[in-house]
Amino acid sequence: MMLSKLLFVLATAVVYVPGCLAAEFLIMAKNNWMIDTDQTGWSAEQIIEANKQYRIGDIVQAFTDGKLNDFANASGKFYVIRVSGLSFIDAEKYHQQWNDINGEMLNRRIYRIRAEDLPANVKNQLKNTYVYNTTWTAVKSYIRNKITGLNE
Amino acid sequence: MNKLFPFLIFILGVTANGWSATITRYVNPSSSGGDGTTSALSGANAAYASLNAWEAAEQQDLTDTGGDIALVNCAGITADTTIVTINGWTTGSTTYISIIGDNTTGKWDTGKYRLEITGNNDAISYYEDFIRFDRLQIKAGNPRGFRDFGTASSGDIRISNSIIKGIAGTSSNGMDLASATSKVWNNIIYDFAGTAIYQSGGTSNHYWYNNTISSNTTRSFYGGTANVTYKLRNNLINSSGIWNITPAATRDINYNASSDASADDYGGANNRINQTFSFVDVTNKDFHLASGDAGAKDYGTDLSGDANLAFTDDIDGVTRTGTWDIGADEFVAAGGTRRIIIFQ
Repeated sequence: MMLSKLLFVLATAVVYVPGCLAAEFLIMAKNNWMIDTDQTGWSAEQIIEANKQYRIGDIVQAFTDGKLNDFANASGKFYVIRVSGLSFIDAEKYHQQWNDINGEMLNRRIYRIRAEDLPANVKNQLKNTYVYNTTWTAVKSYIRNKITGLNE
Repeated sequence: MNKLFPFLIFILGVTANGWSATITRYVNPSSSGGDGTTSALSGANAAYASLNAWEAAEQQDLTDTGGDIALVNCAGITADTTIVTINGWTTGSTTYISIIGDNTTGKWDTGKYRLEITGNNDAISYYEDFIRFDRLQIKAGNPRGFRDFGTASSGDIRISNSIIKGIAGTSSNGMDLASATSKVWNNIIYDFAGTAIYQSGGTSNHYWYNNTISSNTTRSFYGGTANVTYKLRNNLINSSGIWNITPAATRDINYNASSDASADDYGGANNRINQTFSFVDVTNKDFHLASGDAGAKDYGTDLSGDANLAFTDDIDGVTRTGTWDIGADEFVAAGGTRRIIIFQ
């Protein structure tokens, strides 16, 4: 665990270079209000619906390199993560909604970044600025597929 | 002061639970992203860069203290290409979501906000009961433009002044409506392999007025719910197959016109069949009525006082006067008046 975090820090010491193979993500920085609300008295159905909603770390949308500026964090509603080494076309995979075979939503997103497991320095920067530049090599193991339970 | 206080309360909109408000935000796909509180394209208060981002950021219980309306104004010349799902809110009859585009030209306009979706996803899917869509441009992918995933019959869904186009031979339905009351007016819907306006389920009534429907393969309208009322007025159906509204429903169908023999299939009054419509440029999907049109012009009924869905303008924002035209466009001769739409 410590080694992986050390590698993450070293990998992200590489300077982010705009214009290279790169993409940008908007990541949820807060839970949907239903999740944090007192659910006392809620029906089972209501709780099921709440659990489908956005949580911290969910990948809301991928954008092309250079699209977003730091203000896209929308006053702390999102994290803006810039990732070099990942094309936009490949990045789009990560903002897919989790649907059943009829197209009905089972969860807002298939993929999330395990924000809770990020190295302390990364967490601190996200907490303070809501922006982080990194590489695909460094970040991909922190992306979890909710369907399979596996990391990328 | 004692006599003035109730008046002040009325003006300020204070409810028993607090202050009500309209939460106005902006979306522009040309923006570099911000908190959505202005229409600027950069800076901390810049518009959200997509409607999807707005939806994720602004989800809330609109019915809580005070009660609010969530209003989002969408503009921009860059296409918005990410599907939109509206879920995770709580809405009410006076605390609804309002999504407003900026198209006032009445035809597909790449200089205005548009949601263009490819692949096997509905463009806009929604789970909330009270939503109003207005002046949007939607290009559907393989499935649908709009899809209702199960609103309650007590809900109220409104779609107006919008252009919804499919991929000819591929896209299924323009809109799939469900249990909520639907009010659908002044839309142009074309190039769907399935049905332009499809509804099934629930116990609510449906009001579909002044829509122009063209080149949809299977059907113009489908109403499959028993014991509800389908009220259709002033719809223009051009080369769009049959329509199918169950006899188990109340079919209140008057003043519609079709290019085939279907408009009077369910009786009613003043329905015109086998019409030849003259549009400004049907090849390039400009469905404004041409001056020489003899199929729809001046054959509608005035709905400005309709008990269920009253309105006075057309898809361009032109005030309808005199004898109304059938379809989304009210023909205006050169030199006619035009109402200016003020962005909220």
